[in-house]
Amino acid sequence: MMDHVKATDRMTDYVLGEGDTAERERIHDHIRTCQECSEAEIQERMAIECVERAMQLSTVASKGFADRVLSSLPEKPCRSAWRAYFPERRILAVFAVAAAMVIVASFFVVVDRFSRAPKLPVRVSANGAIVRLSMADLLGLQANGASYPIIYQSESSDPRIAAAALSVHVGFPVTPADLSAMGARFTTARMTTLDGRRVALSVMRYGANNLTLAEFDGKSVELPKLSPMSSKTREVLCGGEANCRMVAWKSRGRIFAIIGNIPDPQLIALAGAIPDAEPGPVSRRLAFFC
Amino acid sequence: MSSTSHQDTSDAGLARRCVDHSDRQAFSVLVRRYQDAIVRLAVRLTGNADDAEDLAQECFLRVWDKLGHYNPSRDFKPWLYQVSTNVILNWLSSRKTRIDTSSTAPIESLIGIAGDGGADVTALKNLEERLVSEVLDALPVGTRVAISLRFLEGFTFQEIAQIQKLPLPTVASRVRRGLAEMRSRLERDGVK
Repeated sequence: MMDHVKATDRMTDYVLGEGDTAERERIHDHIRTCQECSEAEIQERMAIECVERAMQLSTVASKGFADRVLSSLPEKPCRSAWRAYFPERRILAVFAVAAAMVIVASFFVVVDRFSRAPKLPVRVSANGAIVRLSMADLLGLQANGASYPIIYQSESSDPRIAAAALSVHVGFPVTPADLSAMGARFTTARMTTLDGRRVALSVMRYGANNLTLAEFDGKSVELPKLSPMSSKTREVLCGGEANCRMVAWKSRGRIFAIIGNIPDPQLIALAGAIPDAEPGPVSRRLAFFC
Repeated sequence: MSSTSHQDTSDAGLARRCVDHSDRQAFSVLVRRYQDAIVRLAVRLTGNADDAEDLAQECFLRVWDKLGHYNPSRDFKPWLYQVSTNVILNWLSSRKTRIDTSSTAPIESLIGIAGDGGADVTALKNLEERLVSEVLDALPVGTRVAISLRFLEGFTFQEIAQIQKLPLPTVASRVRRGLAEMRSRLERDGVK
């Protein structure tokens, strides 16, 4: 049985025929047993009837109203009929689902791009002979989403010195403007002493934001671990002048290069696959690589 | 001829013909079916009988324009009132004021006529309508719409919620509040 206060609160809705059936039945049962609510119901009905009556209007549209409306209708037909069978909310839902799918797909593409281990742009034949890289190889590499950092050593993190150091490695002049044109970003990782020289180990990286070195020895080396430079890292980067190689290539407008000691046989093969340099501006030179 | 006689003359059927074939004849049936109701709604919401018919005409023009958005699987009437209510509310917000009281006689003089004559039913009716109009005018516009839709057109709370695009409890609360206001004003002014 519904309590008296609740029944009083909901009397208006009850008289108006609103609310769910079960609740209205409970109020109805209560009214039958409660004199006060019974009187309240009568009062409520009278008051609502009074308002209903007062709200009624005898006003009607004038004769010829419909004709006036029809004569004012624009010539063009009603808007897009297809919408009638495709309610707006459903259209919104379709767009929302499509947008969500695009966002999810983009997320996976980004994650895939930044998490995939780089594949080396080289092919080694079964007998170990070096296979020359082709443009198709390089484009294929880029299409696979691979990107490599340019790792270089210089005596300073100053881009001018970095450019000079890079020039020595590549064998032709590289200016800071050239580096800037490449869209290179510099990150000075650590200053350290190497072979009695003050050296800044820096990373120019394309396509990735994390500071993880490429897999020179099959393992990633995080930069924070490079201070002081471990013997392993030293070996990886500069184990001996004889093995220090530079690999650079351009693909779809972007330039990739690896400089350092490359103990990995595949990388040695890769370095060997790059033809000898010709003097000239860096753009021509890199174009030649491609 | 025989083909038209078997055509769907429900609101949704007529609306579909308007959309599919730009059928003005079908639209004229809809206009005639609802013209009085929309004029009355305009009077109640604006308190201005002079502009009500022009507004109602504007409502039907908008309905014609928007028929492509109507979903025939739903009731036509609430949709019609939704479009019409929007037109009227836009008009109200552009006018800022709901009723031009300078063009009508003061309520006191109407009370005088009704009281003296006793049998002047028209004056009494006018007085009552003026009172209702004034009471409605004193309500917030959202409450006024809810009250008009409920007590003028008999829409349920659910339908009003659909028309006003509001949650059901909000509509219920507006109707209750408006009803209480109207009741107290009408009782105070002796309308029974």
